[in-house]
Amino acid sequence: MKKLILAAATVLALGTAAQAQETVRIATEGAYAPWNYVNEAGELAGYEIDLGNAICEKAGLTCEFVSNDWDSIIPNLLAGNYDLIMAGMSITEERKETIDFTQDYFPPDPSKFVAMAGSDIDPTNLEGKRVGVQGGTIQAAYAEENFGSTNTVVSFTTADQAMADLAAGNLDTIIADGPYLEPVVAASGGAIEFVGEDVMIGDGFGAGIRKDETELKAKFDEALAALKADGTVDKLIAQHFEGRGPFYAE
Amino acid sequence: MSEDIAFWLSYLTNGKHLTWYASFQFTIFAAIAGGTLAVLFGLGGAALKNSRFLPLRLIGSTYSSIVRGVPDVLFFLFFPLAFEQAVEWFIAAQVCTPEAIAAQSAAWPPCREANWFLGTPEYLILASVSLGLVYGAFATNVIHGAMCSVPRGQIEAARAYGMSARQVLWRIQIRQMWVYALPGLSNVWMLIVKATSLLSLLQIADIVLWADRLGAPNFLPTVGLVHEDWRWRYYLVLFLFYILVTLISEKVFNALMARMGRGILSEARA
Amino acid sequence: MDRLLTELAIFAPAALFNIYFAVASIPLGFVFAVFLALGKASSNPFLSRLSRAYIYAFRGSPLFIQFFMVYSLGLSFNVSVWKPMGISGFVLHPLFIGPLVLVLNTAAYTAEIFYGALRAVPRGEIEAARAYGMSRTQQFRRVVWPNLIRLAWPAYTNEVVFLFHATAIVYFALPVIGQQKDLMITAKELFERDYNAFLHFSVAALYFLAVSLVVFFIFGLVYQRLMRHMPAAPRMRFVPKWIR
Repeated sequence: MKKLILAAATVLALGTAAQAQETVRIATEGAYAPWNYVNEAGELAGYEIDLGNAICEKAGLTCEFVSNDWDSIIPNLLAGNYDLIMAGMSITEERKETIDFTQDYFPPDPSKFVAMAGSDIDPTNLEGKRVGVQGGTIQAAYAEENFGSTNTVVSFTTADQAMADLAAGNLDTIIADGPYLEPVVAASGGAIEFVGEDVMIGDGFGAGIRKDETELKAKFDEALAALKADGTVDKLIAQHFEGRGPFYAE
Repeated sequence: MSEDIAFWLSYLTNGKHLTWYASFQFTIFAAIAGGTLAVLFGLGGAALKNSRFLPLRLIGSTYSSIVRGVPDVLFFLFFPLAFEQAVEWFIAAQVCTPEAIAAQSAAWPPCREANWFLGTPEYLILASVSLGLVYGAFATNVIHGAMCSVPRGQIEAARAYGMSARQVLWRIQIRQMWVYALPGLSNVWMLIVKATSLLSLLQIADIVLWADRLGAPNFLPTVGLVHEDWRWRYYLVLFLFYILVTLISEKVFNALMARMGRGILSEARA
Repeated sequence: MDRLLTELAIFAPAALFNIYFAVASIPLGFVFAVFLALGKASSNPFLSRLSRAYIYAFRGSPLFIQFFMVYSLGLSFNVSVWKPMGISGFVLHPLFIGPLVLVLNTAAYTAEIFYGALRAVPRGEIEAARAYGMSRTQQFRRVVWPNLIRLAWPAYTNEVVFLFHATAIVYFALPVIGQQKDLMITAKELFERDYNAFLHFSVAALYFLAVSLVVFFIFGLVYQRLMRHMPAAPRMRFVPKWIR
């Protein structure tokens, strides 16, 4: 009986594994506009979705986007639940110890602080404040290192949850990626504003990939380079990030 | 007024919300599959506990006490992960060549060919099985107790007819115990229903995850309607949904009990 | 072996968070439950309905949802209520919201246990107390309550163990502050680093089991003391019904 179950499981697993060889699965968070989000129609959308599909078309791959929580997105990549991560992930030395990155598809960009209008927060001299971050991000590590000893660093599962707490006055400031915060600040009509100096962390945004997937990485990089050269990447950036770019035009 | 209604109607029926409504199927599937499996595991566990062979009896009681001794969330997370690893280990033993193992840089799986992709359907099945396993341990106790409540006379009569131990178990104890087990099983069912709220911990985009995503404040018109933090309203809907399910389950179990208790209700009450 | 010991040491501070959540919510939950049970048994229809509805709602919905709901509800009152009172950071802290929700939840389950026990108090003893001319308060203090707590104690012990197990989901629903992580979050993070599900989750399970046994032991001692008037003090069974 036990053998039978195991055999059945093997067939099931091999079956799905064989199928999965053909499609490349790309994981995204689905809650980090404008990088990736779920639109009104209930579908995944955003810069990374459009770019990922363009790259796959160029490289002749069949791709499928799956959503995964941010905090377990690297572990599940390593465990083989998908082949790539495109989720507004910054390239860092620390992450490079466990996974590889493709070329960057968004150049290095400063992280920014936001606070509610009228609160005089000075990020260079924070003390006894509540700093919100999304857990597992480069900003979370930065905040813990720089503010952890004299402030309270609160980590949330999604960036939107942190925004909710800021808007409700439960946080003094949030540090996050500039491209995520800019449209929020612009749309808030002055209620939320940038404070302090920007900080430069991370080496740009790239797709995370397992270290042994050299073949897929080469294909992906080649297609990405071609799309950078022909201006598609810049066009998509201009479309999704207002007033940004062009970055990659020759 | 009519504009308001039209607005809310279109807001509540956009694609995002439809996905939310559709995700109730995961919760309902997990509850029903988990419940069925829990009864099956419970029957197995109770049969083991009833066994005259000591090691089997030990397995039965160890299963029911260990699983109940730790939080359900812990087992709920642990089982799918451990099962995935076990399957991958098993495949690895069959397909991995030494070269493939040497080429593997990640900690797990042993080699790339042994990898098992888990999507929502696989996770859902694993989640149901682990619900079944956890609450099967509770059902074991309930069913074991119910089997012991079957009047001795009936079992003695069966033995006198020359039935074997297996026949007594199958023909008498399992057939007759339901009416005694139903109150306990209805309790287990309620526990399973409540535990289905944990599905999002296994990367299933279930009702809880969507409530969080839909309710979170939105600032960008491209993403959808711009609104502030509406999460508690969405959670309130889920809160009421679960209470409603409890209410309906209670009614169904009461009706079932009234039906099954016909003829032996006096004994069941005692 | 060495590995197991270091692992146990890593988890020890995390276990304190789970123990804190349980310890902080047990006494208040107990008191609240007594009032709820009395409310449910009350002859005042308004009070009785209200207690009934409360108990039904909190027993009929998942604790996980209750956590999310109370946190987001608390958040929406932050600007208008907590901020002006100057208790914002305190009210929305997981170390406050966690026990708060656990109290609300466990009170409902415990009240149901107490209500059951209340109805099982022998009628004759109450009638005897009345015949002695005791006031309602005296009746409750000298006759009803001692009976009730003795009848309810075994089931209440289970509820406390369940409550301790329920602390495992606090940080899945609430934001994590700094390095304040409980057993489950610690286990999950360690697992995500090296995929050793068997080691990390087993160690967390070990802590839960160990504390559960300590709870059984302490509550067993209390039970023996409660039952000291009996000719042969009945030992509380360590494996009673675990259904809540």
